[in-house]
Parts: sequence; structure tokens; C-alpha cells
Amino acid sequence: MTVKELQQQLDLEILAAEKEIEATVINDVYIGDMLSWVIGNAEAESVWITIQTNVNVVAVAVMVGINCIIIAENAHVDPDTLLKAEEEKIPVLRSELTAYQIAKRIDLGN
Amino acid sequence: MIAIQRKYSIERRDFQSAGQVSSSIKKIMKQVGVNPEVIRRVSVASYETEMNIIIHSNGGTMEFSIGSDYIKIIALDRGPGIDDIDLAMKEGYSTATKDVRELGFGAGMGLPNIKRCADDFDIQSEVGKCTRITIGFNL
Ligand SMILES: Nc1ncnc2c1ncn2[C@@H]1O[C@H](COP(=O)(O)OP(=O)(O)OP(=O)(O)O)[C@@H](O)[C@H]1O
Ligand SMILES: [Mg+2]
Repeated sequence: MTVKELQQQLDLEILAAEKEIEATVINDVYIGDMLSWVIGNAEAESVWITIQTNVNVVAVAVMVGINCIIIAENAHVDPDTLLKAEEEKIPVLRSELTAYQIAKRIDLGN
Repeated sequence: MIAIQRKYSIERRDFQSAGQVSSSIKKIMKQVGVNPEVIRRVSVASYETEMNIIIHSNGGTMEFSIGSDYIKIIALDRGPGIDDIDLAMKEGYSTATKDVRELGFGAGMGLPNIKRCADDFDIQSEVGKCTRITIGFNL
């Protein structure tokens, strides 16, 4: 499943790096808000669902190779975070749904 | 033989820089064509090291070097040092304050993540003076 397919299916709001969503394929999903926990456990090329929204989430995504960030429960996102995500070409999407409800609808096809 | 060597300085409490040093290091590794699996391990270790200097120390430096068969990172800060290193290395141990926890730090997983990613890891500290971390990776 691509990020674009997920975006359309869940009607996710696109906050950054819209150009990348079509080519970005979801291979795994990780949910977490503690950065070092995500760093230690998320697989590369995952979608990361979080309510953590400061600029360091983009840095973490870059270091781990996470290729898309979904902000759950309509958490407010710092403008700095979006600028950095745009620069690093990491899509940031947002939903009013909870992390569970979002994850439940991601079909990895396995 | 050392192919590339860089030294970066890191300011305390500079959260907005968001891993700038680690980003630079990652770019260099990509440019010289380091294997992606190694890039990920080095990136994780350097980011955790950089953020620890920002969060827990009075500032310091990180030195990165890459040779034909290894990568090395040396981090040296200006204190306050770590009193009990065994305790600091424990998963889940953290002295992070409420304000940094709100940013998502403070799981107490940073040092364990560094150790797990590294081929060689050494940490030494003098309370009131400095902490020095040396991290090595085989290529
Ligand atoms: N450079 C440093 N100077 C002084 N103390 C440090 C330094 N690095 C780590 N520490 C101490 O070791 C503890 C554990 O560090 P570790 O990186 O594992 O966890 P953390 O930084 O608290 O949380 P996390 O890395 O999961 O966000 C810190 O809470 C701090 O007390
Ligand atoms: Mg840490």
C-alpha cells in the first residue's frame, strides 16, 4: 500500500512533502511517542504514527529511515517540524483518528 | 589511513538544531557509499550521542572519522559527568526533566541503543568535569 492510497482511504490531511506520497510504499507500521524507543525498535521504511510533533520527530525519522509520519488525534504540529519534513522529503499527514484506528486500516498485504 | 575527519561543536539545550551534527554525518556516509545497514547504525548512535550532549551536558564536541575499514565517533563534553555509569547504561534509567520528556526524550534507552548499534563502545566520565564516549564501527 502506498501512502497516497492510505491518505485517500482515511482522508488524511497532508501537512508536508505532498510530492512524495505517491511513491512512498508502507512496509511496516510503528506506533510510539518516546523517541529513543522508536529509534531502537522501528524498522526502516515504516510509517510512524505518533502524537509527538516537535522538530525532533523528523530527525528521528531521518536517522531510522522512517519514510512517513502520521500525526494522530489532530495534535498540533510545530511549523518548524513541517519545514524540516519538507526539506528532508518526509511526508507528514494528520488525522483526528487514534493511532489504533489509523493502524487498523493499514493493509500491508501480509 | 583516515579518509575523512570532521569535528563538530554542540551547544547545551539546543533542541531546535534537531540532530544537525548527525544529519551531516549521515550525508558524508551516503556520499562515500557506506552500506545502508551501517549508515543506520552509525546514524542512530550519533543522534543519541548528540542529543545526550544537548540534554544532559554543558555542551561539547563530536568527532567523526571514516577510514577504509572503520568509522569512529568520539564525543567529549564539558560535564557535569555521570556518577554511576552502570546505572546510566540501564534500559529505562533517565534523569530527564519534565520539559524534555514532553519533547519525547527520557525513555532511558539512548545509551543502550548506542551500545547495541556499535561494534565497539566505551564510556568514561569524571564527575564535575567531562564525559567521553568512543564508538566504533567496522566496515
Ligand atoms: N553526556 C552526558 N552527560 C551527563 N549525563 C549523561 C550524559 N549522557 C547520558 N547521561 C545520563 O545517563 C542517563 C541515561 O541516558 P540515556 O541516553 O540512556 O537516556 P535519556 O537520555 O535519559 O533518555 P532517552 O535517550 O531515551 O531519550 C541520562 O538520563 C543522564 O542522567
Ligand atoms: Mg539519551
